[in-house]
Amino acid sequence: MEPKLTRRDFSEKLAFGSFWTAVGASVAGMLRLLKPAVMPEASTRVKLGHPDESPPGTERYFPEHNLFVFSEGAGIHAISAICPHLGCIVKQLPEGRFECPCHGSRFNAAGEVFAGPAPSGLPWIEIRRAPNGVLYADTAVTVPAGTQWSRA
Amino acid sequence: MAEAFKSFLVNLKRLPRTFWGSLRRRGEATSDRARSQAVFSNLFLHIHSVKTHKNSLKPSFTLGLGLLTTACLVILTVTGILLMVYYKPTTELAYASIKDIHFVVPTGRMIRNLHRWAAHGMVIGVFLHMARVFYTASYRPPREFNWFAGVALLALTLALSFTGYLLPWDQLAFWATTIGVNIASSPRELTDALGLTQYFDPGGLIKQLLLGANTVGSEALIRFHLLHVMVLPIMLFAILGVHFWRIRKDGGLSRPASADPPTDGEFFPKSETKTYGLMAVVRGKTPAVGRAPENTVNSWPHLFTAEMAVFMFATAVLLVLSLTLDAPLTEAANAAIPENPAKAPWYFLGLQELVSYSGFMGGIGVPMITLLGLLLIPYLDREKGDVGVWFSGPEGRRVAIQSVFYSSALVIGLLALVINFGWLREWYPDIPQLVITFVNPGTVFTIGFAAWSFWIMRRHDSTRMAAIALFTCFLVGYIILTYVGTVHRGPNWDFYWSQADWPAH
Repeated sequence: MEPKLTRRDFSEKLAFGSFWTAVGASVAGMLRLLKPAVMPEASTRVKLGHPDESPPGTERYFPEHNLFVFSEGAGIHAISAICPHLGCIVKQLPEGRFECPCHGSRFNAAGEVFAGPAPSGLPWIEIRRAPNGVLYADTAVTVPAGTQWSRA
Repeated sequence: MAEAFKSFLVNLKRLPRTFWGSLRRRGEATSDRARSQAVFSNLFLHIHSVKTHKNSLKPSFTLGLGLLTTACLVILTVTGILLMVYYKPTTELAYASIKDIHFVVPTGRMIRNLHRWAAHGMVIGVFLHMARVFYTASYRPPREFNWFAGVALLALTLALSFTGYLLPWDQLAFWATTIGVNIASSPRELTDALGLTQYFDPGGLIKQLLLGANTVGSEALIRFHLLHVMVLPIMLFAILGVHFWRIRKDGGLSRPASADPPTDGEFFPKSETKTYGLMAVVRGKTPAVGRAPENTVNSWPHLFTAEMAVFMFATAVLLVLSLTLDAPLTEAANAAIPENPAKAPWYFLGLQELVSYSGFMGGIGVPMITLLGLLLIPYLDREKGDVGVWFSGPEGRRVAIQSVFYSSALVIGLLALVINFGWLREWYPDIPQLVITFVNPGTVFTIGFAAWSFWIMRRHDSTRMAAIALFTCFLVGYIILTYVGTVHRGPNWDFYWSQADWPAH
């Protein structure tokens, strides 16, 4: 009976197979170079100052970090100004709402989307207090909407 | 000694002629035969066949569109290299170097304008060339793969445009790129809605690979520059080489059956004075088997003069445009304040209109479905007999016209609805994001076009008619969305009848 795969065919397949495996492994190894191990951006930590610098009823904007900080009686919270749709910077309107200039997403004062293409609300950012009493936020760390740093 | 010296002098005197002769290998190409041999034996000319079919030279058949696109590519390559002499791909210097090119470098403004206009010309050329090939059914076997390569070239042309857009590092560049890259990372919209992002985040990976960071910055500029001047051009020229090569290997440009003399009956009048015998048995179906003499002319001069005319026409048009209209340059990039409205180049504004409904479906889902549909046309429509006939005849012309009306009505109607009354979220504020992702004007267009195409397939019992319907819908949708995005979208992507109505700030 004729074998389905001759010895010669088998060696040829082996040769080609090992060649393409080697090529694939080399390419995969080189692709690894493209994914940055360290992000080159500036630190995502924002110093917000002592809580007394944000008395209740005030708000501040940190343009370098695209961060709104709102102070109320009970606590302080931070909302990112980066639109979750495609990354434009939202504007705050006088009545407290937010509006994105790129594709018209609209958010209420709590950052919830009520119109436009944004898939979610504006992210709320964690606020922590350093041992020296100064507040800071880290724009890379989001928290559920409604989370405040409590004055108590 | 004296003999050698004498022959040295003679050789020196003859040097220009002998060098020229060694270059050309044959004498002056004064006869058809000599010109044929010159085309055959010259590296640069031999991408042409020696003979060209008369139908391929008919301007009403090809419209010269492939050549126009190639002419734009040549101009882009030359002007691009010239721009690279002064351009500096760093965030600190890029904007200033473009200003230098525009205002200080001798002819810099002209070269930059030419590069800009040739880029626009190439995008238009690629689209029109694709439409010509489609409507003349030129993707039929054996040319299916060349259609495939052509769609790849379309994608590469758009990728080159997109990567080139960032390089001036002005406001428009920065924000259009931010938006574009976030579109590429919008699979997150889907993984977020499904709660999978922390385990599986293809969107974030694409973004990091493109930007080398999380935001558009110096790493992104270097990567886009590298893609624009090196990676994508190499890929483009490689595939373009295949594209040209396949034209020849697939038997020249497509042509209707009527362009050749009939193949049945007697090919050659028999001569009474000659005897005939079997000289050789030829295997396979070469163009010469079973055919009368081909309806061809010599490529030199007929094809070459036509090519030169198209190249000169393209250059003349681009020169006039470049002399009259400057390439724009806005303020330097500012990561804190988005340009309002932040518009991509016009050929992406249809896409931008789609992403204003859903980032993921508009920016990835619908374009991928469209690209896949385009790629598969020649494999799904394998009817025969209509190659080289515009619209495959009067029936196809009717289907195309009906499709124009149908798709215009669908797109304009839905746009009017969205612009006046909003979409699902405005009506049901608590609607889950997944519903909006999959049910938005972009997906409704796609489904409406597909449904129309299947209906035409049933009614006409023809895959070719279905393909004509779908392709026409795609073109009309692209044109209308691009028009609305370009003309009628203003600040906050709101609708305005004209730019004069934009609010002052």
